Amino acid sequence: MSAILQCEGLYKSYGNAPALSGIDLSIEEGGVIGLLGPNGSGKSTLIKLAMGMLQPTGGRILVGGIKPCPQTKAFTAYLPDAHFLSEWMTVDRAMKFSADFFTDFDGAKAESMLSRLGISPQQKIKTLSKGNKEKLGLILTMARNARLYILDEPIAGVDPAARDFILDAVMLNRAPGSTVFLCTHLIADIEPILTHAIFICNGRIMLDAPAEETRQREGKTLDELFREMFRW
Amino acid sequence: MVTKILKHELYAIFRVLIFFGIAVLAFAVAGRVLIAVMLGSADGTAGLLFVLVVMFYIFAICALIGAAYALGISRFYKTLFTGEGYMTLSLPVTPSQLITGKLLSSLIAVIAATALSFLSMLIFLAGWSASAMQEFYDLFGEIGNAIATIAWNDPWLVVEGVVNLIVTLPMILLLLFFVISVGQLFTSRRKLATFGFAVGLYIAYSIISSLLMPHFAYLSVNVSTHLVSWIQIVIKIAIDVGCFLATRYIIKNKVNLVI
Repeated sequence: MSAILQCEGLYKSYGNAPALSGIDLSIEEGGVIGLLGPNGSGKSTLIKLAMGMLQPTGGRILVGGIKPCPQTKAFTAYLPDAHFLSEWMTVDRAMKFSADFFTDFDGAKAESMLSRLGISPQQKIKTLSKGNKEKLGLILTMARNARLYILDEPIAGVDPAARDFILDAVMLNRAPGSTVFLCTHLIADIEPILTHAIFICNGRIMLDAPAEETRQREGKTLDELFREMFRW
Repeated sequence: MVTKILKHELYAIFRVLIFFGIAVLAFAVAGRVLIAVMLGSADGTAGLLFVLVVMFYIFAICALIGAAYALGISRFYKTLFTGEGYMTLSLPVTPSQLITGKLLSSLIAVIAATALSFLSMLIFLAGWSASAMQEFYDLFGEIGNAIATIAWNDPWLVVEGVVNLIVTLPMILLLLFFVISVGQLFTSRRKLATFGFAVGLYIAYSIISSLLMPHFAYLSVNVSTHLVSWIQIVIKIAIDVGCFLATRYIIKNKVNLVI
């Protein structure tokens, strides 16, 4: 299998403040990878570098073997940790927008997920509840048949029932053979679906190993290991 | 991809601009009706109403054209440097395509707003008496003849005028795109930084203009007015291209969405 995401000596600083220090990673295609770390550890920075929204200070990052560019964005579905939808749009308009720019957008899949939520396509996004806006963002992301899904804190700030919906939506709707890169600090909730775990702290990789292998080697869950490694 | 960006940007702009356009047309029609009422009545009330309507009509035209610029600029800022930037910057498009799409949509909005304003004036003026209308037609006819005479004697003046218009129209928008982009480089007080940079740029522009004016005047009198026109055109093209490239560099390399 080829690497879908590679980091080689990756550095990123904001002025004099280092955010990532010498990250080396090679993520094989397929599977669900958890990028796990406390707040301010560099998770979002790494994701933004993968999406080409930031440029490295040193080293390089490759997505599908090439530097982040429109070509990599065409096969990468990204769910940011922020409200990113235009409030004035209707749900239908937002779907048409995604379908227009992303050739891998599956409208039927999106409509099916929307109907589960009971959201009308004619509804304006600004009239949706906070939770439904986040779910809509997830639907627009997972409705794509992408090679790589990057989800930044998809379950933060939502109730447990919504978390189940989100994780189901991720596992049931991802394209076959695709890779899901889940970035979160809520490890207990996503641990059951993880195939690979990456722990990051202060911009450095602390662990990069298959999830099951780590559990067996350490004799504890990833959540317990995380709490132990990042205890205050 | 530029056509897709253009399509969505035009929809987003015109869904708001249409209301300004309707207001302009409504005031033009109201003015037209009031003229007919005024002409057929000795009552001064119609005249007073007419003055008010004309006042609001002029405000509405200014608001329409101002809104066309403002919507283009605000969409540039909102879709690139706020939460919506996550969507925009994850699209499979280059920064050049983004800037081009947004620039073209803003230009189309401004041109459409200007065209609608002229159309509304025709509606408004249709209410005047036949003799007044004849005077307007004669005036436009004289302007047309004057332009034709100038073009016949010195066609380069017309060419320079057209080229000047083409390079000046996008300049304001590109300058504002650039100013907004520079403001985003600051980690705090971005709006203040944007305003400060805009003021600084205006001061620099005024100083450079006042330094260059005497030289242009000398060249115009002693060498050729055409040379001065073309030098000014080249400077404007350089500003357009410089702002475009600088904005593209910032979007490509320096944007950090922290919401």
